[in-house]
Order: sequence, then structure tokens, then C-alpha cells
Amino acid sequence: MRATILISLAWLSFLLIAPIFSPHNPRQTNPENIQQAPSITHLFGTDNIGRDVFSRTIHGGRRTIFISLVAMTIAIVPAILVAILNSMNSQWFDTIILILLNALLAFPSLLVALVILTLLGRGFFPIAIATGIAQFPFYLQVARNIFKQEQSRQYVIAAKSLGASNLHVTIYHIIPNARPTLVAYASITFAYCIINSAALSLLGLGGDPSIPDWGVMLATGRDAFRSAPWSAFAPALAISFTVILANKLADTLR
Amino acid sequence: MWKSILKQMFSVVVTIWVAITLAFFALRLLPGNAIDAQLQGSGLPQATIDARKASLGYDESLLVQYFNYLFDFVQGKWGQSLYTGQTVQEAISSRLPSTVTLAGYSIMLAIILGIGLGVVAGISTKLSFLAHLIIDLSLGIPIYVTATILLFVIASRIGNIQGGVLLPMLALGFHTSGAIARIIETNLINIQRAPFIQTAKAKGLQDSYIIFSHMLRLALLPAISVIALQAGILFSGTVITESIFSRTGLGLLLLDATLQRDYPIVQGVVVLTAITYIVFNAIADIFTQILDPRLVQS
Repeated sequence: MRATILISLAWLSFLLIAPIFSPHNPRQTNPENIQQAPSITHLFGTDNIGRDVFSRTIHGGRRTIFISLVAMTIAIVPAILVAILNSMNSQWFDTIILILLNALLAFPSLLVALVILTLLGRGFFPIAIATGIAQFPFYLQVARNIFKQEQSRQYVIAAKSLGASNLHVTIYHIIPNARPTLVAYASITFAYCIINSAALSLLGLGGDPSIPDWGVMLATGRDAFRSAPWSAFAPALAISFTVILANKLADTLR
Repeated sequence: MWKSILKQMFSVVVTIWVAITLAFFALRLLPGNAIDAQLQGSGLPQATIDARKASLGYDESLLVQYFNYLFDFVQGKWGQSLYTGQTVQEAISSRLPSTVTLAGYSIMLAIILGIGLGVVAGISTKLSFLAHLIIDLSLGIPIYVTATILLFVIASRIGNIQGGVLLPMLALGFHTSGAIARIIETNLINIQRAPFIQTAKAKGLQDSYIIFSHMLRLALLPAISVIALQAGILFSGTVITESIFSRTGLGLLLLDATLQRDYPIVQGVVVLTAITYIVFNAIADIFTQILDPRLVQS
């Protein structure tokens, strides 16, 4: 259990400081050095315009992680607030939330992100906002259930009969009990944000292709999968590793 | 039983209506109105733009447009593409066979693989750790990575079979199987602790008999709703897989329409996706209730 948390923290901090280990400039193109196979100078080879894949991968992690963190926050903060409001309100408020939620959940998150992104434009924040909004209903579902469930527990009824206010019970009693579930599912939301934000870049909506970004690199690598398969290998591995780690972390925290 | 099914059908209709309403207003209220962007970008004179908008009914107030859309929608008139002039139904039905074929094969593979992996992972054997690993990989590796690996490993060796259904089916089937396996595994582990299994063991029944006729029957039930959920996703088109394997299905139709801001098509596909998902889920619920009458009572 502790190992998963430690590995996650280590991987996260590595990605954040990784650019200092970068042997080459991730944007430096080199027409004489295109699609080189992995070697000592280019650990993961070079891509279709001669950029160093290793340098781009360790630079790209930071952007992908930051986009996903912003997206996760956009998804979970409003969802928790709505869930808290919902747990303190009447039954019919919950019925309306449930009907809206059922309708929202019917739209696949990637489609929602895709449609929102085309209306917002390209770049860091549009991707983060689109990915985050698309994940909001999924997090709201979990948050609504946990707050609703805790609201009917004995300790809540006990606290209320002692004269505690709704707000007091929520802040000091329900939130501490709901926290493990909320944190665990935040980790899963983070994983989905990584998957979807990279998918958007892969579909060509990532913006400036010179920016090192795992999704953009996948797109470049996919086009060259016959001649230079290594150029997609590192970002694919990095995304998969990060997602599996986030899923494992959620299992541990639950 | 019938009362519960009737209630379910009512809630399906309400949910579909709310989903259509959400899609309608979301697409029109978000910044960068698609129609304006498309028409103004074309450099046509203002009079032509106004005439075009009027002919499409976009000069009416939002509420009138909404009711017009609802009435047309119920009558099967889903609008027409801003680019090709094709009706939305024509555009969708021309792409449907590709998506349905791929989704059908993929969900079958996912069910077989998912049940197999789930059973092996849930009943501890020497192979359980391997099944666990495969489930983790299926859930953790994004579909575009699986698809690219398949393209590289298989297509680059055997030659160009990119047009076929085999590779995307393998990618989607493997990707989908993890969720099915996970729920079966969790159920099997929980059921193993149930008193009736202890009783069966105490009676001296064979392990294989207990597994197949006591445990699996119960463990497979909740998998139905997961399978329906996944099928709903597959049958409404898979943007990533279709774009990697260049299959002209619903997903690619939506992607192209979104990039071109061909807004009636986007709305049509998005609404169809939501309806597919809602209907599949309702069918799964009813199916589960028929198979497990305890659920109706509770």
C-alpha cells in the first residue's frame, strides 16, 4: 500500500523536474537526423523531423500532468459542491439532479470534450477545461452517492439530534468519512483526464505541434509507425504507466 | 414485474428528452456559435447569410427553434448537413453498418475474454496473477496505445489489412474486456464468502460443480449491466479506433463534423449516442430483473 503511494509521488516529482535531465532541446529539429533508431546519443531515437524523442517525452510529461491536474480540479470541485448542496436539500432536488445526471452520463466523455474543445479553441486551458467538464458528471455521480449514503448514517442522525447544524455535520462529520472515496475517485478521474487530453491531441486538436506533449507525440509516432515505431513507443509507455499507477493508487486509497 | 418495466420505459423517455434538450442548448449556448462561424467564415454577403439562416430556421428565437427541433425530431426529421446538404439520417445510416459490424464483433470478443479473465482472476488458481495483470493492462492502457501496438506488431508484418475489421476488433475487444472481467472477479470473490457456498462445500459437492452452478450464475448477473454499458459505448461509434484504423463509421463522422462545425450532424450523432446508451442500459436493467426477481422486490 505504502509502496504505491511512494512510487506515485516519485513518478510525479520526476516528471515535474525531468526537464533538467533532458540531453537535447525538445524543439530542436534536425533535418539530417530524422527517424534515427535508438542509440546512445538519442536514447529513444528521433522523430520525423529529427527531434530527440527522449527529451520530448520527459518534457512532455509536465504539460500532460498539469493539463490533467487542472482538468481534474475543474471536474471535482463543482461536483463536490453540488453533491454537498444536494445532500442538505430536499428529496425533489435530488430527483432533479438524478434525472439530469442520467442524461449527462449518456454522453461519452471523449465526445463531450471533443465538442467543447472545438468551440473553445486550441491550447493548454481549452484542453484542460474541455476534459474537465466532460469528467464532471462521472465524478458528481460518485460524490452524490457517497454524501447521500453518509447522510442517512447513525452518526449523522446522532450529531443532528445533539443540535448540530447541517453545515457543521457536513464539514466535521460527513466530509472526513467521505474523504477516502472522494480521494480515490479523484485519482481515477485524473487517469481519465490523462487518457482523454492525450486523445484530443492525438486527434489533432492539441494545438502547436512543436510543444512537447505525449498526445501530440503519439500522433506523430502513429503516422510513422512503419518507418519509425520508436517515436510513439516512449509516450505510449509513459501514458500507460501513469494511468495504471493512478488506477492502482485509487485501489490503495479506497 | 410489468409495472416495473412500464416505470422503466417512462424513465427512459424522460431521460432521452432531457438528453436531447441538454444537447440542443449546450451546442447553441457555448461560445463560438457554430452556424455563425461557418457562414461568416465563408465570406458571403450578409443578405445571403441571412437568407440561409432563415431557410434553416435559425432566425427564430431559441425557444421556437427548440420546439421546432423537438417536433421534427419526433417525426424523424433530424435536419441536414450544412456542407453536403445530405439529411442527417442519410449521413448516419451510411456510416452505421461499419460501426455496427465493428461493435458487434468487439463486444462478442470482450464478453468471451472478459468472462474468461474474470473467472480465472476471481477463483484463485495458479493463473490468477496472470489474469490480474491482463485485466490491469486492459483497464490501464489507453485504446490508442493498444491500437497503435497492434498496427505495428501485426499490420507491419502481415501487410496491409488496415481496412479489415480484425485489428480494430482485437483492440476494442481487449480494451472492453477489462471492465467486464473486473466486475465478475469482484463478484466471485464476494460470493465465495457467502453462507450458501459454505453449505455447498459442507455437503461435499465438487468444487467445479460449486463454481459453475452456484457461483457463476450469481456472478454473471451484475456483469449484464456492465456489458450493456460497454455495448452502448461501442455501438455509438468509437472516435479514436475509427480514426486510427481509418474506418468510416459514426465516430469518424462525428469527428469530421465537429472539426467542420457541421452542427446538425454533430447534434444528430451526439443525440443518437445518448439514446443508444440509455436504451441499452434500460434493456440490461429489465433483463437483470427478469433473471433475478429479488431485485424487483427490493
